[in-house]
Parts: sequence; structure tokens; C-alpha cells
Amino acid sequence: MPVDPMIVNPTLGPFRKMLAEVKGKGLSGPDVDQMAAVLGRMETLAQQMGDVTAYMGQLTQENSFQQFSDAYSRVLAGAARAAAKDMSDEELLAQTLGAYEKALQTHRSGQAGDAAAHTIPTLERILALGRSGVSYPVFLRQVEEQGLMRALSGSAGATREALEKDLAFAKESWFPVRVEQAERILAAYDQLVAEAPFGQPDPLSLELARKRIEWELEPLHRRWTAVVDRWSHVLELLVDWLDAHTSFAPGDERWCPPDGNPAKAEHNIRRTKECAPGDVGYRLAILGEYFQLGFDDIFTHETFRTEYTARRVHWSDARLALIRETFPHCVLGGVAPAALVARAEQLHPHGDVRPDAGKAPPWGTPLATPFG
Amino acid sequence: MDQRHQEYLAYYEARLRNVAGNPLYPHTEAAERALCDALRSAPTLEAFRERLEREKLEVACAVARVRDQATARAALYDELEEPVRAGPEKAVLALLDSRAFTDVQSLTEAVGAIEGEWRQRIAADETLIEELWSDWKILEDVEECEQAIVPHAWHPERLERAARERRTGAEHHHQVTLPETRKFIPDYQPDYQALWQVRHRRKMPLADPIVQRRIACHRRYRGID
Repeated sequence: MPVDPMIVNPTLGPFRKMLAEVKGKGLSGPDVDQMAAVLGRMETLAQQMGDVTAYMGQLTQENSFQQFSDAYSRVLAGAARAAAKDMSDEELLAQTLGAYEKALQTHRSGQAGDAAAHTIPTLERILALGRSGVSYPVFLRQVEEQGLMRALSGSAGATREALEKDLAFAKESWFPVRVEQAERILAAYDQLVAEAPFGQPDPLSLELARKRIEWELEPLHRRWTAVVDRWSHVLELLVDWLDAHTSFAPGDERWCPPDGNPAKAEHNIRRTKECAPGDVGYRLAILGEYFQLGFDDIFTHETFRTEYTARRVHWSDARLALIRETFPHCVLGGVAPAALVARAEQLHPHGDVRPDAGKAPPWGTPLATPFG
Repeated sequence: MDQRHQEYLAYYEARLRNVAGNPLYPHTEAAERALCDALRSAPTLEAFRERLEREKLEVACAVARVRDQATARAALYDELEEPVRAGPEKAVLALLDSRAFTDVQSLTEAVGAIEGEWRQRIAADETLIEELWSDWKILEDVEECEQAIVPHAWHPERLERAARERRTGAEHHHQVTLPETRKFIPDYQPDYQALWQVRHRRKMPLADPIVQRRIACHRRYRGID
């Protein structure tokens, strides 16, 4: 069975279009033949193979996309060379501006994607320079001196505007390591601008700075999320253990199976009551072994205070207080005190979670904790 | 030197200023300087164009830039102890040492082919560490079932759950992960020993004994041991 046309058509569509364009211009030769041969092979494989991943894997192994693109580039470059050979400077300028005008129209129409939209002001400046009446070499020099070529090549996320967006996103997301990363990359960008002869940062220098910063901070980000995941799990276990003692437990989806079988629900509740203390002990041992944190340390740890301030700790303050008070009772063979169970029943469900959960305050809000 | 000649010289001098004195671009600076010198010493623009074509001065600029870029990236990756990511950069440098390019298109294609080949090698090298880190919590869940202190009555159920998780992990590895990865990288084999090398070890920011234990757990979870 052939690969689904819903996959094949969007994949091969651009290649079919490029071949048709080349043939439409009356171009021919071995490179055009190779484009046709590679596309033919891709079409044949699509008919022969049923599995999409296997199909894409085969195309990758055969390097089909690259082979086609290389041949296409050769065809276009050959045509351009032939046309440019005897061109005057005026004709070269007109041809160059025509190409930029075409790119601008594509970018304005949104066909080139969001990232390309950042290049619109640069393209407009290039076109304005070219149409200002200067000669071709003066146009080339001004484009170079105004850093417009570098600005264009920096369209893939390396403009200041894009880096500022990265920083704003990191702040909105309240990931401190990501904020530090975005701030350091932006600072590197500004430093390179200050050093650049024409006010645009050297793309290679920026690339290297960025790689180094990301490399340095990746372990910190991984560690941060790992700590959060581990203490979150401890809190969830304590909530479950106390709630398993409440009157609402038999009907709660944490224990009640889809078929509503009360015996199964009872079994599940008993499991939580009897096993959660051991599980909490195991998880706290992990927290201690990995990060040298005990139960009380959770609430003063930077990760907790950050998550709490960002309103990603979705429990209400009353529920968090209950979690802390539950902990000493959650021991093997232990039973939740009636007073705590009553408070859990009172809070459930609307008082369990904070009303503003998930609505992060502005970045920079002082870190808070529910326990003073 | 007529006005147009001067205008072209000003353009090439602007290009040179973009890289002059930047320690990342020694070869590019030399090539751009050679181009400027050729233009400056040419009696006419026509003579310059002939020399440009004859000596492939623009191609030399492109080759120099590729060489400088690959050198800088390779140096960074060496410093960061990322030998696999340094691989394509060193392969590009080896290519430039072994082959003379007479047109930019061939250069672009040859470099593109190297980058394409190495993208797969890099993906293969980083597959295991990413899988291990994403499976880390499942490994803890399995260990919790087996080691948390709970009443004896629950042991059979919890041990069965741990066994079930392991069966799922092994099935997924042998029936999905390996075949799917091998569609792109036919000789892919997870290399657990390589996880101790800096480029992977740093992605597990925990103490050595913990990492050692989890690697052993992961091999069991995947049905390798």
C-alpha cells in the first residue's frame, strides 16, 4: 500500500513545483535530469512503501532532499551565471533588486513563515538604497556598511528583536535558568554590536557565544526541573494519602474505577492508605540522595519559592499547610487524624487549589513562600 | 583609476573591514585583502574581472570563510569536550585540505553533504542520553514498587506492576525504538559506556553512584540485561 498522499503531497509538493519551474523556464541539461531522477525515485518509493517513518528514513538515508536541492541550486546558478556574464552594472543592479523585491513580496504575504517577517524592514531598506540612484558597487558597499547582509543572515532567531522575545518568553514562563540564558545571549549580542565595524554583530561570533552559554546552562536547567519534579511528587503523595481517608474518596476519580465498582474503589483506597507512607519515604530518600533535601527543606528551597511565586504550585495555602501537617502522620501503619481529614473534606474540591493557579505574576516579583 | 573602479574598491574594502582584526577570520581576512589588492593594482576593471575569474579570488574568499568558521566551531567543541559535534567541522577542514575548489556551488554542496551525514551521527550519539533522562522517572517508579517499605500483602501486586513496566520498556525498545531509529541510522546501537563521557554525563547532573545505578536500571528496563 502506498504512503498516505496526505503525507506525500506536502512533502514532495515543493520539489514537484521546483522541477516544473525549471522546465517552465526552458532549462535543461544533466542537473535538470538529476532533479527529475531524484524526484522520480522519491515518487516511486512513496508508491512502494506503506510506512511513513520508513519512507522518510529511506529518503534521509538516500540523501534525496539534499541531492535534489544541490541539483536545483546548480541549475539556478548556471542560469544566473550565463545571464550575468555580459550584464552591465545597471542590469546587475536591476536583477538584484528584482530578486529582493520578489523576496519582500513573499515575506509580506507570510509564505516564508514568521521568522522571515523580521527581515521585511531590512529588505525594504535594501530596496530603498538600490532605488536611490546609486551605482551597483555603491549599492553593494552601502548594504555592507549598514550591516544589512548580516541583518538578513541573522533572520533565523539572531536579531535583537528575536532575542528580546526569547527573554520575554523565558520571563513569562518563570524559568530562571532560561531567563539567565536569554539575558546572557542578549548581552553577548549587544557586546558584539559594540565591537562590530558596521553595527551588526558577527554571525559566527554570536553563534559561538550562544552555543557556549546554552552548553553551560543546560545541566542547571535539567537539575532545576528534576528537583521540582521530585518534590512535587512528594506533595501529591501526601495529598492522596490524606484524601484517601475522606468521605469523598470512594467517588473520587483517583480511586473510583471507570466502571464505578465500589469494591475496586475500596481496594484502591486501601492501597493508598497502606502504601503511600512507604512511597513518601522512598521519594524523600530520593530527594535526599539526589539533592540533599529533607521534607522541610522543600518549602524554603529556591525551586519551591520560584514555583510558588509563579503560581505553578497549584495547591492553595490552606492545602499546603495541611500537607505539612499531614507529613508526620504519614508513616507505615499510620492513620490520618480526624481533624486533618475534616479539614481536607472542608477544602475539597474548590479550596484545594489556589484561584490564581497558572496565572504568573510579572517576572521580578519577589519570591514568596506560604509559610513566612 | 576611474570612478567606477574606485566605487568597487570601496565596496571590497568595506567587506575587508568586516573581518579585519577579528581573530576568528585569519584566512578570510587574507583572502579579502588579496581581492582588494588585486582590484587596487588592476589597471582597469576589465583587467580585474579577468584576474578574478582566472585566479578564482571570490572562490578563495568563500573557501577561507568556510575554513575559518569550521576552525572556530571545532575549537569551541574541543574545548567543551564535544567530539561528535566537532566531527563535521573537522571533516570540513579535512575536505578543504584535500580538495581544491574552483566554484562556490561545489563547495556548498560538499560542505552540505558532510553536514547531512554528521547530523545523523550526532542524532545517533545523543539518542540514548535523551531516552535515559526521559525514562529516569519511570525507573524510579519501578524501583519504588520494588523497594518502598509497604505491608507484605501489597508486595505481589507491586512486584507485578514493576515487572509489567519492565516488559513494556523492553517491548518498546525492541519493537519501536530500535527499528524506528535504524530506519534513519541503520547501524544504531545504544552505547551505555559512552554515557560517562563529558558530553553525556553533564546532562545527568547527579552524583556518580546515582547515575551508575540508573544506567543499570535502564539496561534492565530495556531488556538488555
